This record gives sequence, structure tokens and C-alpha cells, in this order.
Amino acid sequence: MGGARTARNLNLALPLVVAATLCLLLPGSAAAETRVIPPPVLKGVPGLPGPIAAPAQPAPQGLSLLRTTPDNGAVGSSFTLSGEGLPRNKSVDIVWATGKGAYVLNPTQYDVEFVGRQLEPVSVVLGKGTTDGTGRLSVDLKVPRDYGSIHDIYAVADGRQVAKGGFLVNRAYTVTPKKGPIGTPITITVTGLGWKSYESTVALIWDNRFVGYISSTTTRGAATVRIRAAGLVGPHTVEMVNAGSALPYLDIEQAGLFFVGRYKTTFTVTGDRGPPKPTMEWPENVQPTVSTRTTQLGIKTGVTASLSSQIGNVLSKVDVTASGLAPGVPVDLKWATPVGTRSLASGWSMASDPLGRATPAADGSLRTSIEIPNNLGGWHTVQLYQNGKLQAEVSYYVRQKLLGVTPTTVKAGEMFTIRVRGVGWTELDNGFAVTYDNAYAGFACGFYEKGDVKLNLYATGGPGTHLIDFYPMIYKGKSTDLWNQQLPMLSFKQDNPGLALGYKLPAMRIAIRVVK
Amino acid sequence: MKIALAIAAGLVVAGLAASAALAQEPIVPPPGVDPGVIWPAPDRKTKKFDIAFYVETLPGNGSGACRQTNTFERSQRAVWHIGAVNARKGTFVGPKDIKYAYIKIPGVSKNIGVTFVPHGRDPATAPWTWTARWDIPADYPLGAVPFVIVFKLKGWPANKVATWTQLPLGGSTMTVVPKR
Repeated sequence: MGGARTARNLNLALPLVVAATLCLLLPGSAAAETRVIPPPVLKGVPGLPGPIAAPAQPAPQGLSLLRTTPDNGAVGSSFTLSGEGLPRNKSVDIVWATGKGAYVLNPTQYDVEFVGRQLEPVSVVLGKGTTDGTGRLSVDLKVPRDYGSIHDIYAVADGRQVAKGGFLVNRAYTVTPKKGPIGTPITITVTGLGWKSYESTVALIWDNRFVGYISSTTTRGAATVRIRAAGLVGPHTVEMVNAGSALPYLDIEQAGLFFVGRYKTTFTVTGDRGPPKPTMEWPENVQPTVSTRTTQLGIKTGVTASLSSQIGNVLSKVDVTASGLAPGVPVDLKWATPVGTRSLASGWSMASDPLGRATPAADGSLRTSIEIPNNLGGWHTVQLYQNGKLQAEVSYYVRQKLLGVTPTTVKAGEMFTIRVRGVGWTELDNGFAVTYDNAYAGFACGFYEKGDVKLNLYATGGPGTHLIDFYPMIYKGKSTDLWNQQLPMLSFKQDNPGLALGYKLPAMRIAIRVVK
Repeated sequence: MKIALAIAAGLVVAGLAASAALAQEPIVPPPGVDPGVIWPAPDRKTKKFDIAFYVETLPGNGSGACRQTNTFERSQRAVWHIGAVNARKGTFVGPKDIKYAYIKIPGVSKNIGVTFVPHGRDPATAPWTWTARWDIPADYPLGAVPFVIVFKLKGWPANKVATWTQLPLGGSTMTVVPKR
């Protein structure tokens, strides 16, 4: 199985010189088209807070005002909406102006490009009310589990907006627990993130060090993330500040969006019990909403094929079954994978690596097994060829795998190495962002080394346990999104653009002991 | 924050209000179909525009005074600078051309008058614009302020005015936020 590359059946690369400094060889068809990706169904994430409201125009006589008492609060809090001077004895819809978010990607056979986010307004009917004989309205409402920031509210009668108010959904945070030894998992929840790009994201800061960003593009303003307690024994300051660009906006008090506020609490590290074992944390298991898979050609023949599993690590054993093949004609099994790199002018192209050969039975059925190559992670295709012609293809997802850290005890200032396999190549999975003791350090990529990352770091911070955490990131491509990239996506478990395409990108938790 | 600024053409009789949302992608109309114009709209009968407006908003006090913005704190003074051109004649609309001009704001019982004033100490050299101001009440509802600018030129029929409304772009319309 495996071995030297013998065929380039998918090598459709049409050279395209983009610039003198950095040129990519990309297949002409890689352009495909940008798509708004429907978010997957996520646990605990509601849909719109009401049915979509019919378009309505202001009443010719103009709009009255609606008062909200109080006029701000967190998700789940109550408020009263009241108004006067409205049409008498009328049933009105209470229309809540909000937004909806989705990721915009360009998923192709060759890559998944991160284009950005689509954040657009939508109005829903949050409730109903009836004006009295004097034209007064009073409705008790609860702040829906929805995006935060300022929402316009309209009273709509007979298809006309007759009054307008507004409500500020405040951000709310929880941090639990508040104390524990180094390595203690700390769960942070956020509600009330806005849907507009500048209001959509917060950054987590640990002792004035950027950990990563928390987003809710597809989770309607709420997110739950986990970090680990790190640093010296004693108190540590934990902050959440606005981060429209995914990086902390530190003087939010001076900004136009000052009303989103900031949050601060303290976590107390109580001791050092030594390095915790390496772990991986996986995103929520969701049903993908998009069927496009990298390396898949989308051929249609009478041959059907399947695998005993569709996800696993490199070097996994997988059974292949097929039917409808020409009896007695040998089948070449191949692994469709990219070859090359993003960072050199030579770019990359698709190749088909041999996995082995098997012969179908007299009824055209095939049963054999393959070993997943020790190569790039992400979505690949197992291909079945007969007489050099592709007869069937089946997608397989190669997960990232944390192999470990060596050494685990390191002298201060010396190097240690963390090894990860199965890192992919698309803009969603070709690397991960790295924090050291909850401080963002940079990122690592695995495309050039075929998914095998050997990350060398130096032991710093004095004697004791020190934590290294890897988080999913978005690789900077052509995106013009407000977000900066190559940064830790702390809310990756539910809000990650890859989820809708079947990507399962983990966080990895590693620790070392530093000695003198 | 984007600036609530737009150059728009006036329309007759009825102002057009914001639609709920913009289309996410351009959609090509079917062959032979004239989709018409949703915003801004010309005179429905003549298909011509009467007034082209330039509108900007800015705070009249506080640290951000005189800088274009669409975001205003409660209790802040909002100021409009408006330029108006008679699109039929290609001439600037000045005081002698106007029968009346005002801004209508939701919940504000008295329409806010628009006057033609210079912006600078020397009226001879200062730029002149149509101007209005509004001291935002401390309890004015948060969120968008869908104001309407209304101009009526001398000689127009009784039922004809030109109006200007904001483009219905989320986050770009005039917005009231809490007091800092």
C-alpha cells in the first residue's frame, strides 16, 4: 500500500501567474463559486426568534414611539413595550429587527477558501399585542435567545409600521470555576454578541495576553468556550473585550460601540500538580449541510463503493466494498490528495496515490482493505480504477491526531517538540493557532510536510507546569472579512466554518514541566 | 460606523420607506422585464427626478462634534447638513426657491425646520447648506431613527413635495445609542 506516486490523473493544473512575488498554480476550475453555507443544526442554538415578518412601510402619518422598560437587559430578561397614539383597538405585530449569520466559502475539489461571513438583517415577529380604545399598547416581552446589541422594534398594524422603539441586548458572561490548580478547565459562556461585524466578536485576554477570539456567527449571539488555568500561583485577570477584527479592541470606551462594554473577572491559580495529560477536544458532531468534498470529482457510473468508516486517523485500516465492477478485471485503488504547497510559486495540484490492487468477484463485487496514507488530513477520496478508468470514488475524512510532546520535562530555555499528524491543506484546516500559557504565540501549518507537524518551541516562564494549547484557525487567503486570521477560534466547537462541510477540527491540550 | 451620508434624488408626493433588507446578490431580471426602480424613485408619472439631495449628519456637541457620523448618544445634538439641487433645472435650491422644508422624526410632535445657513465665521467665504438640529431626548428609544426630509418648492402643486429617506442599510442609518 502507498509507495511512490505513479499517477497524476487529477493533475488539471492550469498555471496562473498571479504576481511576481507569490504565484499559485491552481486548477482553472478551482475558482468554482462562492457560496453562503447554511449553518448546521447545533445543540442549544435556536432558530430565528420568531417567524419572518412581512415587509412593512411606515404609516403615512409617521411613526409614534414605543417605550421599552427597561430599555436594556441580557438574554432572558423581561421588559415591557408600551406606546400611545396608535390606531385604536388594533391587533399589532411586534416586529424585532435582528440578523442572521452564515459563513461564505468557496468549496472546491482543490481547496476550501474562506471568503468571509454573511451578516444580514432580518425582521421577525416577536409577539403580538392589541391597542386599547385610546390607542395605547402595552406588551410584556422576554429578550429572546438572540444576537445582542441594539434591536429596533416596530409595531405593525395592517402591514404598516405605526410605532418604533428599541432595546439593547447586553452582553453577559460567566466564568466557572474561579479557582483551581494549573490546567483546571475553565468554561466561559457569552451571550449577547451582535450580528453586525463590529459587534460580533469578543477577544479573551488572560493577564493582558491575547488568548483567542469568541464568535457566534452561526450560534445567534451565544458561545461557550474552554481554556485552562495557567501561570503562577495567585490571581489572574480574565477579560473579554470587543474584537470586531478578532483582535482585542482595548479602548472600547472611546469607540462608537462603547455600549457593548467589557468584562473582567479574576481566576486564582491555587497550585501546580504537574503537567496534565495531553488531550484533544472535538467539535460538536453535526450533520454537514454541504456535500462538496475536496478531491472528489463527482463522477457518475454504475459502480457503487463504500468504506467501513468515513473518518479516522492516518494509517487506519478501512474496508472497501464495491459492486457493479467488471468481473475479473483488476481494480487499482488510489488515494486522491493534493501535492505541493500554498507558499511557493509552484503551488499545488491533485495526485492519485496507489493504495493497492484487488480483483472483483464473478458478480462484479469487490471486498478489500486499505490503509489510510500517512499524509495530509481533511477530506480525501478513495478511487477505484479499472483499465485506467475511474469507476467509483468514496470520500474519507482524515482527522488530526496529537502524537505528543518530547521531552515532557524541559530545561528552561531549551527546545521541545510537539507532533501532530493529519493536518490538512485548505484554508480551514491547513494549520492551527498556538497559545503558550494562554498567550497567543503564532500558528503552525502542515501542508508542505504532508500533514505531519513538528512544532518546536522553547520552554519559558520559569520552573513549573506550562500549557500549550492548539486551536482551529482560519488561514488567510483572499478573504476581505473584517476578521484577522491565523488566530485561535476559541468557540470552534459550534461556530466554525468547516462544520457545515464535515470538518472536525479539534483543540489540542499539551503540557510540559520546565526545570532549571 | 458607517456614515449616514447619501446623495439621493427626491421624489414626488410619497416618500419611500426602507425595505426590510437588501438582496444579497444582484439578480438579473428576466428578458423583456423592466423591474422598475425601488429606491430612489422618480416621479411616478413623469419618471423624472425633481430634487437631488446631499445629506450628512454630525453631532452638534460633545467630543465628536462636527464629524460625520450616523451614531448619536442620547441627549446629544444631531445636526443635518443638506444640499439640494433642482434636478430639472440644474440649479442649487436656495431659500428663494423654497416654500417650506422640514425634517420629520418619529415621536417628535413638531417637525424640525430646515434653514439655510453658512458654516464658518465669514458668511462671504463659508459654505452654506440647509441645516437642521435636534436635541435628542434623554429617553428617546434606542436604535434607528427613520427620519424623513421634506422639501417643497414654490410653484409646486398642493400635493407635491420632495422627500428623502435613508438607504435601508443595516448599521448605516441614523442610530441612537445610550449615553456614554
